[in-house]
Amino acid sequence: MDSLVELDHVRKVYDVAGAQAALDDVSLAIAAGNLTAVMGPSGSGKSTLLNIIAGLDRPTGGTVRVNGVELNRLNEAALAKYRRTQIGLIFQFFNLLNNLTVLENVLIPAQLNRMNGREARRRAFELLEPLGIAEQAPMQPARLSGGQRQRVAIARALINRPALVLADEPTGALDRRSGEQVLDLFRDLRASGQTIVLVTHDQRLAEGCSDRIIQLVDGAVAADSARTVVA
Amino acid sequence: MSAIAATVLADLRRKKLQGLIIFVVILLSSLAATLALNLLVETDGPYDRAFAAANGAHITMTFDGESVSPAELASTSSASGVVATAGPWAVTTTGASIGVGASKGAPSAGVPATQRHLAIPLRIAGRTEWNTEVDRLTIQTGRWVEAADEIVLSRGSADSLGMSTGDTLQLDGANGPLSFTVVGIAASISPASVDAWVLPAQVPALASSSASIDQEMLYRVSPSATDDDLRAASQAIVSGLPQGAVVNSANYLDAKRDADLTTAVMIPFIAAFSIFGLVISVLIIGNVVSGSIISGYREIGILKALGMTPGQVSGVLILQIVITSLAGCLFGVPLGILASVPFLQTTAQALGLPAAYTATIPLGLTVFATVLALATLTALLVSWRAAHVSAIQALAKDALPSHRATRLSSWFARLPFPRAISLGLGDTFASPLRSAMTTGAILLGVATVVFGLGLHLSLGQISEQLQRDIAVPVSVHLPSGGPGKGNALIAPTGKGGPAPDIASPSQTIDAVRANPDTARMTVEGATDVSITGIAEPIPYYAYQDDSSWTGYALIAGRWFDGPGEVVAPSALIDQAHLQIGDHFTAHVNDTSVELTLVGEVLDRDGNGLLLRGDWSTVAALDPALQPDAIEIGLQPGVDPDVYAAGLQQSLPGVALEVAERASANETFRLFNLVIVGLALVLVVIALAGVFNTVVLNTRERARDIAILKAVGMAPAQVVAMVVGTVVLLGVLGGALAIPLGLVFHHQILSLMGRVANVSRIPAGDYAVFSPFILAMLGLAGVVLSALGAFIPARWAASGSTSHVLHAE
Repeated sequence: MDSLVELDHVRKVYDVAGAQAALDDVSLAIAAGNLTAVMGPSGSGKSTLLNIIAGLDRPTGGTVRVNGVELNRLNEAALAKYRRTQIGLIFQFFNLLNNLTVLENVLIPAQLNRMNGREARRRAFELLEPLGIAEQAPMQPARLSGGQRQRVAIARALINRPALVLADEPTGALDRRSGEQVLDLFRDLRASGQTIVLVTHDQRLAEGCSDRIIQLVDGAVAADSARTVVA
Repeated sequence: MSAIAATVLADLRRKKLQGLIIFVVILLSSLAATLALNLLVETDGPYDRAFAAANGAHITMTFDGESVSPAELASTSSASGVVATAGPWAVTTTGASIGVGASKGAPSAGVPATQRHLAIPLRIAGRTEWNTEVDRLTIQTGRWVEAADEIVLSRGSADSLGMSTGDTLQLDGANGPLSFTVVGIAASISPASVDAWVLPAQVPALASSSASIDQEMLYRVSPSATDDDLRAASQAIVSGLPQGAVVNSANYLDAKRDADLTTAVMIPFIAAFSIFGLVISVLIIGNVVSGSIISGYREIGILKALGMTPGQVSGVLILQIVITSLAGCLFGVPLGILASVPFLQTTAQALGLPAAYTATIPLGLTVFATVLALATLTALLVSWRAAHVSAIQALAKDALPSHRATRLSSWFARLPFPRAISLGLGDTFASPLRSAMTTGAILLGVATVVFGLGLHLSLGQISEQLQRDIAVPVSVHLPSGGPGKGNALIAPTGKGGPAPDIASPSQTIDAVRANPDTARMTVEGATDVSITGIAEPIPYYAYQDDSSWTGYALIAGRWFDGPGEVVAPSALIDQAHLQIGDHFTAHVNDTSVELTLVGEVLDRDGNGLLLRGDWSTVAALDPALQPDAIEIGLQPGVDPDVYAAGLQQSLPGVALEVAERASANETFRLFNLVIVGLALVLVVIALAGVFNTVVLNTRERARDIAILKAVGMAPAQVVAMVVGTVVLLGVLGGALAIPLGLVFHHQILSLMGRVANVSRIPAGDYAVFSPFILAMLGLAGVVLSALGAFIPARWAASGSTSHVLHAE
């Protein structure tokens, strides 16, 4: 299977005296169409790995290639375009813009990508309706439940049809029921062929929908096991 | 260390940018306040201070060197009322020869341009010391004369001749030209001061004959406060001297009145700028201080949750502001004093005063205390409110944006702008108070530019209208003994009458008329007339030819067009209670003539009490009326200096005035320097205000900006968005600033005219803005806001994203 993401001896050290490497010589390839879970204790480098793949951070050493593009060679403007067109980001605490409505939040990436307004709205409702939050489109995110906000974040992440979805603890701030709903959503996305890298503490989430689980400990890959997803 | 002190110090270390902004704003505000106050204080009696410092002469008298001996003059020091004297010094008038423009204009009077020299008269005194008890000179550059071939020039002469220290000056000597090296430039406070100084032994060498050496004495008298005092003292001085011994006499009160008038004219616009500066400073300080406190709401919540009382929380906030403001004032006030120095020196120079005023420490302390009090009071008010917010409220401050904020964002989202810009516009009024104060600062900043530019343009135009050097670049003073107009280039040589070879008025008029470089000319004479409403007789300036081209700016009506019609300045019209179109009677000797007022003109001669009209109107009534001046307009491209030099060649001894050399532009240069300087400081303060607003906005929206960058907003889009948060404020501020600036421009200019000469200003001097300039000024608010926002916008674009997003 073709690799969508390739990390080659990636290293990340933050500029603090005596600091341990957040990522220490990580090499891995992530296949297209798969859902890969990244797990590990706090401080193991999970979020750092995600940030580097998203182009939100630059590695201290090594190379990162996504969809054939070497991220090290891109300047900030090119990285922004890469995130707009290739990446969909989902965060633990949703990171929605509170002064915009649900619909406006979902539309932002499309508008930044200069998608036609009508087409963008159509695409947005195409995502909101199956997520069950189309009626909440004119509301402010602060008035929604955690689960609803995370669904808005998912819609926002998908609006530009990204090649890769990166989710950082997507159920970390949710109650059990909402978490289950998000788990179902990820299963559906995986089934539709979306490539997903998912950082999670949640064993149930990882085992419930991933094709592969990578364990990070102290910035290095400690275990890497392919799995058979149980539907 | 107490908890409060520890918290304050930790915050100061951590919030360096915030502290820097407060420091810079306070520094600029205290600098501007110090500068403006120094200028205001300086305009209050600069002549008196300089006069006292130099121990100036109350009376200057020039005596005929052949009528009185130095010993007789020395004895006048014991006259009644005389308390101190200086002199007698030998003085004479000679010509300084300067080469004039060889490249411009047609040859004049048959003399090739390359060989043309213009003789400019210099009144030279022989003086061994500059530091005398009376009339202590100020050496502005260089040193005093020490050798026979050295000369020190007055500032006015140096500027007129285009000379500076080290240059060589050629003077007409008794036996041919003599070269002198300019070793210094000095200033004298005493009236009717000379143009240059040499060693006493050099004066005879410069005099055209022994009969042309006068003796000058300077007197300090008591009492000396009024014209009557000085008149009495003068009479006492000359009482024992032969009749006709006094050639010239001048007193310090006339010079003082001129200097005080000039500085009085400055007061309105300095006061206007000071008010602008004060209001901008109040707005910016309030914005900066309140913003820094409000941005720390979360920290306030934490402090209170940890157990700090509201008083302790207030103390933490206030102390941070006070410490930073103290630092700003400590730098700002001395910098303001330093910044005042070039202005004060230029003021002294423009007023012809010898010494610059040194700014006072008490004034600096006043500014220091006021600005610090302002910052502290603002901090007190805002921190008190903040400290009484509940801990929960403070910690959850940003949880739910207002309905207003959401509606505005949605409204702007519908506008046909790129999304990044509409996002920025939508945030414009997220903090209404901050937006209002920032708009106020932009408004005043742009109004300052409009007001300052308007003043600059208007004063430039008025200066040209008063000097009339474009319309009348050259004028000739005819040796008729009539009332002269000011500084003639060449006075008739010797004293007591013209030299035998000086051309008659009719010869001079014919020569000027025949000169091919003369484009137009008018012959002028003057007589005194009396009119109702004016106590003393006033001059009536009579013109023989068409004089409508002579450059007097019309305030109302038109130039006179025939016998019986006259024009007059505002002062006369107001004092005589006249209106355009009125008929009134003027008395000449024992006869009278009916006059019609047809126009009001801008005219600074005679304190504005005069009439200008046709020659024939008064010629029949005053047989003694003689031509005493010719005003000359030149062919296009003719250099006035070259033309004047040519006239001197063909008419030896002719008294000429080249307007550019005779006119005093120093005053208007001073005005412009003050205008530009103050406007610049205020614009910088307004910029600092916008900068602060955007820094606060981007800090408060750091999370939102990080989210947008994470979903793909490019750095340029981030910059556009952040700049967009203040652009609308710039549009509003700029739009409101135009009328405000124009109103100030109009009001202050009118006030200056009234102060200067009780004169109205021609309408055209107010309407100095073309539609294009007004349109550009309308954009100035946008430019100001964009400039102030640019750097913080770049910071926001380049800041860390992942750190912010994961900092929950």
